Amino acid sequence: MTTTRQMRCLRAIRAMGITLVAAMSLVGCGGHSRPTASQSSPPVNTSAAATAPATPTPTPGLPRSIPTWVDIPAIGAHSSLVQLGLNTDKTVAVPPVSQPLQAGWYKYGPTPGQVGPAVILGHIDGNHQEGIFWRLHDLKRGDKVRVGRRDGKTLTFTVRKVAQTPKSAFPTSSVYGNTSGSQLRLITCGGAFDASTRSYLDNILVFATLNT
Amino acid sequence: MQVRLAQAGAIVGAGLVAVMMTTPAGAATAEAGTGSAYAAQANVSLLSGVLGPHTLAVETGPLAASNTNGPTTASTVDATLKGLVSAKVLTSSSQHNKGDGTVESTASATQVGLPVLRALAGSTPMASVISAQCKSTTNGITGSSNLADLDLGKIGHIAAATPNLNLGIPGVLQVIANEQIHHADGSLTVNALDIKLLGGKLLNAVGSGRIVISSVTCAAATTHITTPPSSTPTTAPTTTVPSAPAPSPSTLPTVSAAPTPPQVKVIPIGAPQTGDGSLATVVVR
Repeated sequence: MTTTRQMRCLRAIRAMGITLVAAMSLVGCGGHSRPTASQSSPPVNTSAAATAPATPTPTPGLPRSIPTWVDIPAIGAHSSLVQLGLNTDKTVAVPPVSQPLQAGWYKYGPTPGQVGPAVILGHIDGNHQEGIFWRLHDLKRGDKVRVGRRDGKTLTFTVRKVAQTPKSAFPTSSVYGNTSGSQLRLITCGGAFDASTRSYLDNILVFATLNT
Repeated sequence: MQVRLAQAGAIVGAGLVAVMMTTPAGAATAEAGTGSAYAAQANVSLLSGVLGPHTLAVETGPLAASNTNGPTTASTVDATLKGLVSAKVLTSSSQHNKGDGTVESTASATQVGLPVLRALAGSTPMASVISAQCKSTTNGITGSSNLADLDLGKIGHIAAATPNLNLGIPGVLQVIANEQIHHADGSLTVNALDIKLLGGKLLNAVGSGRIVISSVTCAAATTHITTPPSSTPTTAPTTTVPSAPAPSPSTLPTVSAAPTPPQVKVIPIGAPQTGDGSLATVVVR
């Protein structure tokens, strides 16, 4: 795959010390790196249909249970999961950039196994270390992603699409919009790094569906 | 658009027993095609010792309030209602789609804390999201609430999928979760969480008044815009917006298939920032 080759090439260049990266402060692409405190109590999803005899939409899928770890053998990624909320500007919170190997799950969305798009985020890099999703772009259609939940269940998702999109055109509805089954989104940064804004220009997005 | 909470909150004098005029968004005579929403409102009088050494009276008015007549969306961040309630983000929206006639209202509070109930619950009740929504179509009006992770401690548990669930302590506190109020004019109000402090005569009393988190109201949908009948194809097209009034409330069906709720309760803005560029291979300036 071209992208992979390009990345390998780029990494070789980097290894030779040609690339100069400026200003590696705590800000940057991970500038909003504020983890949201985990809830101390087990979650209770109390979505309730309005009026008594109304026709509740049947929801197959599993009940809500917080995900506790993610494992992606194809790229050697394994992490526990912290819960992520929102920053004050309503962008999604991410794990501390000082802990780039920590992945997190967006807690205002479905848990993996529930119907809908469960979202897991991880850094590509941080603090001069490779992040948990350093190789996310290497995933290919058909690769497996395993997620463990607090209820003891281990779920396996299959990658069906890997995309690289500019941050300026982030596909919000594709990532966070309703789905008919249980799906998973894996998100990290990608593309070139803009030193002036201290932000990567793209996101790497992985779309996966629950194995049935 | 952001509404600053500091401007919305107002102390109205200590010691009064405030009685909230419960006009949940759009009550009295809601016209078809209208709706409203707000994320939080408090009108309470607390006894001394509950949240400090003094009595405390608070009347906030509706926070992050929206209306189909505008503003149709509103939000507030990092809200604290005089120490009674805290929330990270308050948002609401209320929209009338003139194309299909539907009305849709939503309200949401994230990372909610309820210090006002700390003494009764044993610890400060917390919830990651408290939201409500309603939708009117020509088939009727439906609504629902989400109280993700709400932990009320010793006050009780919110059972899933239970409209109008009542919890509380007789004479002291009433909590109604997913409150559904069908008004005489046919409109529907959904209060995700309605907290009523019942008075000050008992030992464990905290005060009087009412706090509502995430309230939405939807009146009936307006009639569809129709196209001219096909039997008169040669006639110059005249867009006809039926002038007939909306169906009378008494004939409105109030129950129908629920609208599909969003699976992601709060959709973040923008693109995630996941990396600091410290190992970036391509750097631009």
